[in-house]
Amino acid sequence: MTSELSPFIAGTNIQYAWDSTSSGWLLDCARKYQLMMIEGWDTKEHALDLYFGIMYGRALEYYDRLRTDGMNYEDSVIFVVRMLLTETYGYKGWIEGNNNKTRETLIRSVIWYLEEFKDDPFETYILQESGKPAVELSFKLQLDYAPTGYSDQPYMLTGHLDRVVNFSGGLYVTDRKTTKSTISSDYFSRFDLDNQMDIYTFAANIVFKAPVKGVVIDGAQIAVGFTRFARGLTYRTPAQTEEFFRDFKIYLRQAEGYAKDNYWPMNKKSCFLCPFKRVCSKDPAVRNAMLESDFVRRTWNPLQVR
Amino acid sequence: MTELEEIFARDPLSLNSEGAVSYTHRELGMLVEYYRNLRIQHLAPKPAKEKRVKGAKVDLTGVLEGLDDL
Repeated sequence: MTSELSPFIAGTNIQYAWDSTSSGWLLDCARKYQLMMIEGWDTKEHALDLYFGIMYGRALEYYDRLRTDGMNYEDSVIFVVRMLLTETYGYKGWIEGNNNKTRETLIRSVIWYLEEFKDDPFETYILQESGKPAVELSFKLQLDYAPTGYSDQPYMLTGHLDRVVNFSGGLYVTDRKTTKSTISSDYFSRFDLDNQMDIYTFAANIVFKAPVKGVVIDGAQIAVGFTRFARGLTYRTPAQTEEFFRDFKIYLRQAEGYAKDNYWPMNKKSCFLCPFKRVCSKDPAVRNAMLESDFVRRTWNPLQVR
Repeated sequence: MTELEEIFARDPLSLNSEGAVSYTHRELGMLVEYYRNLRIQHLAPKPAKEKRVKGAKVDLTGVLEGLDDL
């Protein structure tokens, strides 16, 4: 990671540029944040999940862009498939035995999504200032506070919005998600208390200067032989968004404290689904060897534009 | 190797059958159609599965009577 792109203040572990992924790790457990964000460890499975999700989202955003630029449906699908075949060629992270997330299921899922939502009732919002469609919007918001002692480097909130749509008289951010699990109402209700959706709503309110009501989530269940889709909504009131911003500031101060102490404590109530629980349950003396043998190195940089 | 497998295995920087880099429009169209057909098959109503009831008695009267006709 070059110093100009680093999300950390030079020479420290104080992170000033935050996104939903890194803040999500911090909210789960400070030790998990240390392992994933500061030290850059990940499981092969999670690294593949991230890659699959990013490529799936990028393909669909590319489609949105082509359609808003005036290309017809059939040609847009062809262009998207060409992009996917080209960009995923030679990717080394596919896992033998994981038949859910493969190059083929990725391309199948994108084609099926485009069939499923061919006549999408959502209308892409047109940005008032530029007159351009609100698709593929990466944002970097400078916050009005900075890490203690580093007033020249304010905190930043970064991220990427797939698309903003008009639906039933309100504005919503859209987000596409993939999962191996069956999508039920429980799947969508978890996003009612989710920092990613908080950040998307907060950022969209500032970027568009219009009250965004929440996020439309298009969930895709990726199975070996099929992909199944479901659409859900999660709402945020202005008061909830304000509350998020207030909480976020407190968590950033905590992260700053951990970085200054060079110690990130475990949250043992979050271990159940954590990929690092086998590591953390062992004596500290053997943990590094376990990380070296069972995990992969992967850098996550909230400043990197997708 | 099928044509579809060949498309997936191909280095996108190599030449395609028309001498150009990457995939032809026809090849990509075929791939898209293949997955669309898979979806249609997936969404098609499945034949109802025969229900087996444990311990149910099977009435063989008609079958046994039919045997007389053989």
